[in-house]
Amino acid sequence: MSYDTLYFAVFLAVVWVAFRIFPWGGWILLIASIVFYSVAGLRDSILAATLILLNYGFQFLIVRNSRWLWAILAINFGCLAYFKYRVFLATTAGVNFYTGDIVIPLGISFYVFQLSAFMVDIKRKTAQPFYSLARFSLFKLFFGQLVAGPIMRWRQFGWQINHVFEGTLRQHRLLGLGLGLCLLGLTKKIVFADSFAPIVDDIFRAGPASASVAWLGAWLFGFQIYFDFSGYSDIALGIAYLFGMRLAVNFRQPYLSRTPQEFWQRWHITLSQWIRDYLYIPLGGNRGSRLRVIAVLVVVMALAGLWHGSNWTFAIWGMGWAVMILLWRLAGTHLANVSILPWLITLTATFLLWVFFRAADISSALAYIGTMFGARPTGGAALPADGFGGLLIALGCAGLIALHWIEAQLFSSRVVRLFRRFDGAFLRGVLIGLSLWLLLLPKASDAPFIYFRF
Amino acid sequence: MRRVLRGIGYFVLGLLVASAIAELGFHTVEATPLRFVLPVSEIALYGPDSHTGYRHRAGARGMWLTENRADIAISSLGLRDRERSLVRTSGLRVVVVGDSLIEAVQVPLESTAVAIAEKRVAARKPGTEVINLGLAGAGPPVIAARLQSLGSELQPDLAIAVVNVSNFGAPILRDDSAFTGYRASPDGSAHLSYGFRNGRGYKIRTSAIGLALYWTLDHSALARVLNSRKNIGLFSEWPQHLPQAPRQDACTSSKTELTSLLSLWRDGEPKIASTVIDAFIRDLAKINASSKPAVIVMADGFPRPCSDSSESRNELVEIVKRRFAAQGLPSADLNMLMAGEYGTAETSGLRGFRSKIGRGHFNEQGNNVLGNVLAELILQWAPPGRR
Repeated sequence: MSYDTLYFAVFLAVVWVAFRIFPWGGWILLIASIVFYSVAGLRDSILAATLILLNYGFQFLIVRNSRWLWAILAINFGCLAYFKYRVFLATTAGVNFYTGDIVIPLGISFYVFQLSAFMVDIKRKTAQPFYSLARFSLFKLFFGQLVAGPIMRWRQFGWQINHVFEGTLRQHRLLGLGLGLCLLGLTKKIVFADSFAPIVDDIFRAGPASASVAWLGAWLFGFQIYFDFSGYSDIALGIAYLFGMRLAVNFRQPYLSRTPQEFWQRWHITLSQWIRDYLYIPLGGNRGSRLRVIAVLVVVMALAGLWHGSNWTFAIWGMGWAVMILLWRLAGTHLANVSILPWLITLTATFLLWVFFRAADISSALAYIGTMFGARPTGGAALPADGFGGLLIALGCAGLIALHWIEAQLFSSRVVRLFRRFDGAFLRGVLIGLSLWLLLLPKASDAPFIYFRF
Repeated sequence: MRRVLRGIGYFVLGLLVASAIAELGFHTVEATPLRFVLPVSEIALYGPDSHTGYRHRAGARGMWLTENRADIAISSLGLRDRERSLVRTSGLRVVVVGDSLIEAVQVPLESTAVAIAEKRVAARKPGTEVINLGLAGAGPPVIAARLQSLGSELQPDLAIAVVNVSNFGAPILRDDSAFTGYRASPDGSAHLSYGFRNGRGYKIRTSAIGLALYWTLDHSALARVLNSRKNIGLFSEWPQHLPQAPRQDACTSSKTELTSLLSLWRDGEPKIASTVIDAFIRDLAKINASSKPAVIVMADGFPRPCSDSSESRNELVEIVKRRFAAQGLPSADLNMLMAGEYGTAETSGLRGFRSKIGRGHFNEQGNNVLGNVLAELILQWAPPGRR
């Protein structure tokens, strides 16, 4: 089920009413989550159920003997490798076992990471096992965050699950805030991300006809993926608030970052933290020789890139970020106080690297970037001719950054206090009304949430 | 209880305020170039018509969103065309009637095939008018009825009817509950039938309620959003895990189609569909016999030519042409003319937009090719003496 549909809104309303009326909140959420995921199909459901059961059993084994951790990590990542990366791995190894497209099980990248993090935390004794299979299942399957994160840790989410089952979760006037976040997320997805998708598709499919079109394509894709993914995350946060739960914030206006490091503290925050805590630091992090530090950073960022998709373009995207971070460590301090220059450099690098993320392959990405810097154009996608001058387009693009800044103001504690203060029937009516009108719009493009594909 | 009622009242007020904000938002976007990028409400194009059941609503303006975005303005005569007068000029006047391929709402007006044909012919014969009578979903009965009514009012010198030869077997052509159909008479022949006029939907749409509804559609973006949603279904985004039909290559499906079309046009089977063909040809011939306008049929929908079925295809084309010619109606194979103009029989690139090239309606290039074909036909068949 996709969050930006009427049938999901009906589903959510039914679950919420049942949650408020009946005392078995945990069970209601669990059943709802199972129903939610089952729409993805039998194969996906069986795979998710199998992994949940296996991980549930292994948590007790790990408590007794931490060596069992390696077995369950092998199972978790083995499944991920098979279902998501088998064609990529086979092709890279020069073996053509598999042909054709893979349909990646819904949310597998997210729930494998979340399950594995929990297993490691059990071993590190920073998490306690769930004795209840129902609670463990809801911890993994909660429909508000199952499909595309945020990746929740036991210390953030475990106690909330326990409270939901015990009926002791306090609501703290979160309904208006939750609805507001849902509306914000729907606006980002339906109004912006889905609107940019056809333009971006045209430019990348046909190839840009000029440098300005190439920059426009990269710029719009950067905002498409931001609005798409952060929109989903906002809805996930909002859904959790509707049930009195709090998920981790996953985005903090990343395009306002002044350094590459800061970007990764603002973009897909829970993934960054997962990579830091479960890959980067265990592999050595900043410790050791300079060569080792560089190697760890490059490998970790390449893996972070590959998490997003089974294509070398994603690995290059990740490694590009590693290079940016390393360069900034070397030279960034000299730029730190030079007005907006750090921000401009970080922003430009971000959108250049997005080209690798979006392009079909490395050669297309390089040709595209070449066009951005004046090389011979690779295709025929031209600027729209319907009443748009170059100035209007430039203003529109600048407006997107302005929206980004406005969004930063919306996520202030002052606005949160305002929402909670004025939370009532009228505000909820306004928020639900606006959300419904967005959902009633027939979809202009067949664009599922981008991160659903991961 | 009072508290509950007050809460409900505030909630409903909130919904109303939300609707006002949404209405304002849509109007703002629709009034600016942002309408080509951001979500807008789709134009409600159609209204009732006593001759065909439905037609374009005069004065309707807005954005078409399906397949491709285009600004649409329906003229005061209710045509997907620029403003025209019923009063003739001395120049050549041509009407082109067909379905959504002629209507071409997916492209701007100046890029439609009919507009391109007018420009080309007018360059050789100044003062020529080529008028778009295309109407989405128009099958043979609607085409005939449209020519008889609006087509005649425009007093053209030449009428081009673009008809799909594979449409005649469709049962919907014999159903007049929603729009004009061909119904069987006691003598076994078929005649245009207007049963929709007695239907509740038509009566409502032509009543004061209907007028109010269309006025609302013209002035309220939210009404148009609801209208669009009604057309596609409330839960249309529900994932469909439908079994895939086994894929046939283009030539295999072409042969299958040819067999059934030959059975229809040559052998008259099924009989019920064959009577529709007879009726359609008879009705066009009546218009043609009155010598104004001369009617030319452009036959669309012939299966693509393949090496091992080209003989059957040629046979079908000849049979179709003979049947029209028997009633004094010249005809042409539109598919072959377009292939000739485009330079290849593989014309799928003329259809579809963006990532869906190959599927759907003619894109700008497709309209350009069709426009050139129409122009050549008009120049070939224009009555002598008309500038």
